[in-house]
Amino acid sequence: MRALLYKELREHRWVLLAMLLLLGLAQAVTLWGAGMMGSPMVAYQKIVVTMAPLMALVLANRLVVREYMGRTQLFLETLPVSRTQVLAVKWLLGAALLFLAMAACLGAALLVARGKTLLTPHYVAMVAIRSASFVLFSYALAFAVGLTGRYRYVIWGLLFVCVVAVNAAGQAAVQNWPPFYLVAESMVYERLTLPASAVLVTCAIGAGLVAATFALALSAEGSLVVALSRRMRAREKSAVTISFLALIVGFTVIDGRKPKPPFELVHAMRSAGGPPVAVGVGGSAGAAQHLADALSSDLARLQDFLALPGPPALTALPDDALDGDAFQRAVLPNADGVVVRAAFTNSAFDSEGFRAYALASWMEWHSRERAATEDRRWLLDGFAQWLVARDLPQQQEKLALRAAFAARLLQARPGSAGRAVHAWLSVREELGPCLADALAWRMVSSLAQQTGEPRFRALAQSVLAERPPGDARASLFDPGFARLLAGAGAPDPAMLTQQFERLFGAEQARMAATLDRIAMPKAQFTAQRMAGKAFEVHYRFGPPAGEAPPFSILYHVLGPWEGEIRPEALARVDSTRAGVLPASFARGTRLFTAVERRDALLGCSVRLAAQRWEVK
Amino acid sequence: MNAVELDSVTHRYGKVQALDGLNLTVRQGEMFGFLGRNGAGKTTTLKLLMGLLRADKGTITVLGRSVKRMPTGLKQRIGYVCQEPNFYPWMTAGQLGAFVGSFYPTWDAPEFQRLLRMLDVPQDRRASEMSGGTRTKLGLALALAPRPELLLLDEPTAGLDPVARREFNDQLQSLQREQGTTVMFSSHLVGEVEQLAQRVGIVQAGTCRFEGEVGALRTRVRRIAGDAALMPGEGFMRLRGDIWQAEPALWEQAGWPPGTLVETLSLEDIFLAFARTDSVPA
Repeated sequence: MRALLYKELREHRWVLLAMLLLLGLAQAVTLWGAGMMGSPMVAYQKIVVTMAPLMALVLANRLVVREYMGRTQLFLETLPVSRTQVLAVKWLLGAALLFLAMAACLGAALLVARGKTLLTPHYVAMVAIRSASFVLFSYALAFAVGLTGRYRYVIWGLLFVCVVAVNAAGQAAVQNWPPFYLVAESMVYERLTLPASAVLVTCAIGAGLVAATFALALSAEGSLVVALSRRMRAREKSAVTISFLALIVGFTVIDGRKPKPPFELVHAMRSAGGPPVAVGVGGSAGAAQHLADALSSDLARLQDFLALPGPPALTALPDDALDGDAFQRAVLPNADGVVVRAAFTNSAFDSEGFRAYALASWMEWHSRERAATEDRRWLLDGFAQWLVARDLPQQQEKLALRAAFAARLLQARPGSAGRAVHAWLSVREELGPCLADALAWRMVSSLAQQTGEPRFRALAQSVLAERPPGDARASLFDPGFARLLAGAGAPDPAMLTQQFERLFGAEQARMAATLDRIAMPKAQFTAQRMAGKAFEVHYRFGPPAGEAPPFSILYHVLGPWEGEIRPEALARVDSTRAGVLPASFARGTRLFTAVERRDALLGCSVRLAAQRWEVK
Repeated sequence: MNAVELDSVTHRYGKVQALDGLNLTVRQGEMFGFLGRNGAGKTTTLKLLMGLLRADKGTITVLGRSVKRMPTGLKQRIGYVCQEPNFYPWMTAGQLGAFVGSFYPTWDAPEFQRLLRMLDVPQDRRASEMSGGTRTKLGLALALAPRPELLLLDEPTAGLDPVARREFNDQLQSLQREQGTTVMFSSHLVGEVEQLAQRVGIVQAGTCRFEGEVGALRTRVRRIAGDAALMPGEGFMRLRGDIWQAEPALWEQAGWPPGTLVETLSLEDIFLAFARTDSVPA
């Protein structure tokens, strides 16, 4: 037994050392940042949740998978030592290392927490039991799956899909399952009662997994595990991959077909005829009724133009906290339909802008968000504006002026039209929704004029009216925007870029005199180091203080993979002079910052100095 | 006492019948050659003897004890060298010796060192850096160092070149003579078996077709060339073509007509006749 232990330690010493170093580092970092988390015990909870399963996986992989896949198990079996002993040594060694490591982490967390958090023996015992149960479960699972050799990835994949499926079904949230519940945040804050049933269930599952491990390893003189550890043949790999993809597609198909109840607003004014629209009463009932009828009429025109089947559902809710020209779409995880919000009672409420936003939101919903993908989003934004403003010359004039100003702002940098066609989300972020919608309207109305109504209608139908399947098949059968343009007889993206470049120049020249009257003050953001390691961000806005009109500072801390920033995610500070953002930032934080100023001539907010940058 | 006894042993791998009522006896202190074609059941037999597999039917006795459940104590008395030793690649020969030795109370460390020197195995080279032949020789040293009573070798020379094979066989022979260990080795190389073994067993399709001394085998199986009408009488069994098997006395008693040629065969010819025949075993 000692020889086996020594062999295992010697064989895996570098990996174990690296793992322990990583754990120490993770523990140090989380404890260092524990101040922001509320308690050093939260740091321990994070370590248990992330590092225990990771370590269990590494240990199982080193102790079991490596032995069987390397066929060295066969050599071990020729020696005078029983399979049970070999397996027991491996299991116990891994478990001991994992439990010791977690105990050390708990000890460190308790040391740091001493004096800051109330640490009673009862509380410490509860935390220890909860985390130990979870560690046992994680390790037993990793060890058992490790014994399945070449099928271990398949099993992990299946487990993952099952967990996601059950979680998505909404019947049993994963965080409430006994093993996961034990290490949820309640582990830190629950001081009175130990969730005994969750502990028992978790330990029972762990014990069951251990029994299954030994049964699998010892069955048929160990030959089953040896057979499982042979490498997959190409045919087997193909079969597994195809089955797995089929399973995921099947799951998404079933999930996509699951009917969701429609969103229903009880106290609302409803459209008198046409497609059903419900508007919540924010101010007068008459105004709400008027808006409901207008929206219903817009939807009827949309339905007619795009030849859409069935009446679409739309609900509009009043939200006085928003600006007059700010609109939001609600996320509905458990209901179906489109719900949009705006400040109907605000004196600056942009009714036409909201109607266009509602139409765009409905098309997004109808196309299962495909119409909002970056390559075709300008068409969606512009088409909604185009449809609403089609019979409103005053609105068209307003949009034309905004579009010309947007083009002027955009053409400060080369390749503006190319960016508008190929990187619309960046352009939209730079200009803000008001100017971006106007520019999109200009692009779409120019395209409609150039191609003629029948071809433009065909293009709009192919891009905006298609409702793809609500599952993985949707991504398989997307023909691509360039092909849709060609199919409708519209110019290709390269030609569109050239046309829009000319259009932007011409529009600016046409409205040069008016555009010169619109102020374009400069805005600037700078990071300055504070006394500690944090930075504060200063903003300045010209012309000099005292003469500056009111403006808004928008900012948002960007996540590592963050794409489009949702409007409601932007934090806002209103000001009339230079100042400091009400937050501190660590070095390396990625920020989005912009200044918005309401312009009377344009009738909406103009976004300036929008940029993504790193604090340093 | 016999070192190994197999009585009507059967073993299946799924649908494949590896052993089908195998009977075999290896006497103590002898060098027993186990001949058979690829897939005849040689490796399965040796794995059953080592307790790495369990027989479906039949009884197996090794060193006087049943191996239904291989006790550790019995395993300590057996040395085993498989076709392709799966040593830990990161261990050197010395480290492997220390590791393996800790499982045997009879481990003789100086003997292991001597064997390594004699077999020309570098002590501080990792197993992953050794050639196939050196690994096999290392396997032999590891198997012999605990001074086992029974040594099971599964085609030990299969991966060796002719020179290395000759060296290995010479050393095996001298070691067996020195230690008096019972050796059972499998091979499909007839010349090797003829050189080393005192007794042989020929296995085909999981059944033992012949067990006995090499000389006796030669006197039993002969080729008869002559008129087809002059077929041998009762007690003779046709193995294949003109090769027949009978008790030695029958060969002497038979009154062969003039013109009949009764020819003694090489072990290779006899093995081929056994390996290809469809007749019922004698």
